[in-house]
Amino acid sequence: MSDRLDELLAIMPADPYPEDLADRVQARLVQIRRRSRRIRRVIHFSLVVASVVGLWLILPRAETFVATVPDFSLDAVEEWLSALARSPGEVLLNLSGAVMAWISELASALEIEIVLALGFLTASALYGVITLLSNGASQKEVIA
Amino acid sequence: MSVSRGQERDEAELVRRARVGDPKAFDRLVEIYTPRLYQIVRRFASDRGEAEAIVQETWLRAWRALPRSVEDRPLAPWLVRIGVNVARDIWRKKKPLDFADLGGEEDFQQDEGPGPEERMSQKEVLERLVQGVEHLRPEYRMVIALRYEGGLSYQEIASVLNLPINTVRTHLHRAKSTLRRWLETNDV
Repeated sequence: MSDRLDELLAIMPADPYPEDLADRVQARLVQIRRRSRRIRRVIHFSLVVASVVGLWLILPRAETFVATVPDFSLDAVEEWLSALARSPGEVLLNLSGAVMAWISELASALEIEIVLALGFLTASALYGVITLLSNGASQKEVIA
Repeated sequence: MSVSRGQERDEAELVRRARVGDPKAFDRLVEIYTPRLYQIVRRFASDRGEAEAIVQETWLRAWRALPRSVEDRPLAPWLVRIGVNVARDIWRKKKPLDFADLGGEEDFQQDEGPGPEERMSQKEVLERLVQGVEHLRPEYRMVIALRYEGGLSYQEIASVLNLPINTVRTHLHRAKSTLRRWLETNDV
């Protein structure tokens, strides 16, 4: 009996397939692809504008920005590492103090324009790297 | 949704191209798989409109998810799984009373002697059976659709529905017991 039911279930009549369904799916996919292309274009354009604005803001203030970057030398790093090996507690305490001092110096030295410029440039660079990486992965798959 | 070996190779190539964003390859997959996908979905959907909506949403989700999907995985069970998830999402938004329920939790005994399938003409039985499946609980309709429309194994059904294989067996057993009772009560 259960075999008979199995057979019947396997041959149950089905509704006719709506012939235009695949076409409708494809039409919706076309709309979605168009929309994502438009969004991508807007993002690209915005990031190009952001990069240009970022460069325009940061270039005249480059000297101020460079002055806030700590000056590292190989000797200083070596000296710091040996001090760290001798008395790590004291060195780490000094380091945290130096970092706090540098942050407050940075905050007072950096103008709002530089902060904005850095934000714009970082966002553009990050987007560029992500796009490059995802394109690279796609190309690898095509070649493989 | 079974295919020959040659077709399998062509389709694997289409899937590979679609995964890297080739819209023509993806559109070809839509043409190939939509009819079978529709038949499976229609069996567990409440009506034609719902089935078409599920199929459309399934392809939209597949388009978004395909680049991140696991490589070399067969497309058909993956599509059915998306379809099942779309259906569950739709049903979750609906009231539970939207579905008629034939019950069947307690009916496990096998009947002896000729059943209604033997007494009625095959055409009548099939018509009753279709109605019976439409009145089953959604989870039972799903196992019936995947098993008999999709031709999936118990293991594949378990994977598609994200259920233990024993639960799939139980659902199928209960669905069939329920259908048997439905045929009995509608015996002509």
